[in-house]
Parts: sequence; C-alpha cells; structure tokens
Amino acid sequence: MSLERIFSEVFHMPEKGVDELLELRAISSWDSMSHMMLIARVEEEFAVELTGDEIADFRTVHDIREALNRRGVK
Amino acid sequence: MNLAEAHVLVTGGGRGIGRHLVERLLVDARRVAVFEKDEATMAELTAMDPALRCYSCDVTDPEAVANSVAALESDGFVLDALVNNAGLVHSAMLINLLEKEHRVHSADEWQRILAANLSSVFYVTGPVVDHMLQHRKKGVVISMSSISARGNAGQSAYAAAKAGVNALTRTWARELGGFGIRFVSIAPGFINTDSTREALSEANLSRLKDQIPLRRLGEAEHIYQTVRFIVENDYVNGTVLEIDGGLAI
Repeated sequence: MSLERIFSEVFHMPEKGVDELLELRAISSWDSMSHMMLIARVEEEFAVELTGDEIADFRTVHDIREALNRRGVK
Repeated sequence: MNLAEAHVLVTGGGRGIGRHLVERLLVDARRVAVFEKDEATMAELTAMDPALRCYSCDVTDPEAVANSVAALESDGFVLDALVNNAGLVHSAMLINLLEKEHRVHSADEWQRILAANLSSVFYVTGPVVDHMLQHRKKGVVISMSSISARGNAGQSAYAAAKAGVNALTRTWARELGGFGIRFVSIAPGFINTDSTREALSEANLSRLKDQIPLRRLGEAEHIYQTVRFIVENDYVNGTVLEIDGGLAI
C-alpha cells in the first residue's frame, strides 16, 4: 500500500490530494489522535519502527517518506 | 412531581446547556437556585431574572458546597430537584505522540478533570440529599453525564469521570430508593452549543453528523425536555438516558 493511500484512509481525503509538500497541520482532520493512527498504519504497512523524535517532528508527507527511505523502504 | 411546584438547584449555568436549563426552569419551576463560581456569570444570571438565586460556589470544594447549601436553606429553599450540570469538557490522549517530552497524560490534568466532573457531583449530592431527607422530600437528582462514558478515544479523564457519574447514579438509586429519592443521568451526544463549535472544526463536525443516524446535532432544548421528563415521571430511576440522536447505537 502506498503512503498516499494510507493518508487517504486515515484522513478521509482523496489520494490525489496527498503530495510531498502537504503539511499535516493543513489537513482538517489531523490531530493527536489521527496522528497516532497514521503512525500505527505506516509502521504496520512498511514493517518499520519510527523513533519518538521522528514521530514528533513529522511536519509533511515528505518527512515521513524520508524516514521510510532511511530504513530502505522505496 | 409537578415541576411548577418544584424548587430546583442547578450547578453551573453560565453557558451552553446549563444556561438553557436555567432559563427554561425560571419559567417552568417554582424557584430556581444556581451554584456558580464565576462572579461575572453570577452577575449576568442575576441581572437576567431577579427571581433567580445565585450562590457563589466552587463545586470542587466540599466546604464551599456545604456553606452554599446552608445559605440556600436559610433563604427558604426546600429542594425537590438537583441538576448536577457543572463540569469541564477535556480532551487529551494517554500518550501524545506529537510531544517529545511530557508525552504521557498529565496527572494534574487528570485530577483537575476528575474533580470538576466527578468529585463535584459527589460533593454537591451528599448535602443536598441529606437536606431532602431532613425535609422528607421525595426528590430527584439529575446528573449530566456524556456518551463519552462508554469510552472515547482522546478523553481518558473526561470519559472516566462521566462513567463514574453513571456509577454514582446507579449506586445512589439503590441506596435511597426506599426514601423515594430518585437518581438519573443524562448522557448528551453532540449538542449545538458554543463549546461544541469551539472544540470541533467544521470538517470534524460535518464528519460527526454523518455518524449520527439523525444526521444533525442535538439542541439544548432536547436536554431540557429530558430534565423535565425526569422530574415529572417519578418511575424513572437509576438509569442513564442517552440523548444523542442514535449516535451510541
């Protein structure tokens, strides 16, 4: 499953609205609860463990993509 | 019980549902008293209707509550109904992943929300029910709960407090049913008040409405209708009435 698809499902938004520069805070349904759901889905889907600092620092889709890339996820 | 003959005490009452209850009870009940801690709100309420008696009272302070109940008695109130309305909506998750430090729910916040929503009900109901017993009143205690009492993600303290309110309602209904004193909780869903609109974005509000079978928010008047029903139907006891448009189904 793509990162865009996960965003689409977690935040109830169209996949095509998810681009690299999209800021999490700009998503109307984003909050601490949905952020937790997003992280849980990303970790499960890509079989990775993100650090607490990374999770707290995520600002954009690109930030999450980079964290995945650092773990060899393409 | 005939509401038109009833002396009613409401805790809180400055805004939202509480304010609406006070305004409607002033028309329909015989005498209305309010326990309120905010001086500006007290002045506003008193200016609204001189017949309303406001007592300065922080319901999280048992001593202040005892003093206010004594003052109310001195003013000739013989209570038939208490509406435990005062409370504080609060949202915080057990673990907040957006924080690098202090990720875990604050213990101070936990205590504050428990005090405002659960301890306050305990502190006020005790002296008021004792007052009812002394006057041999077959009164009713209505406590505002919430559908969050079923468990609501992001509301640890608030959900626990409201579940506690429901437990007290059932406990006291068993303890005091023999004296004819009734206890009922009202658990509103999403009600169209300023605090609901302040707490939720338009997008979240719209999504929530889609989850409600009736596809709309409730109104404060729906809660007043429930209060009136509970006061007037003296076989309703020990239960939680969910006024939520079917949200909790």
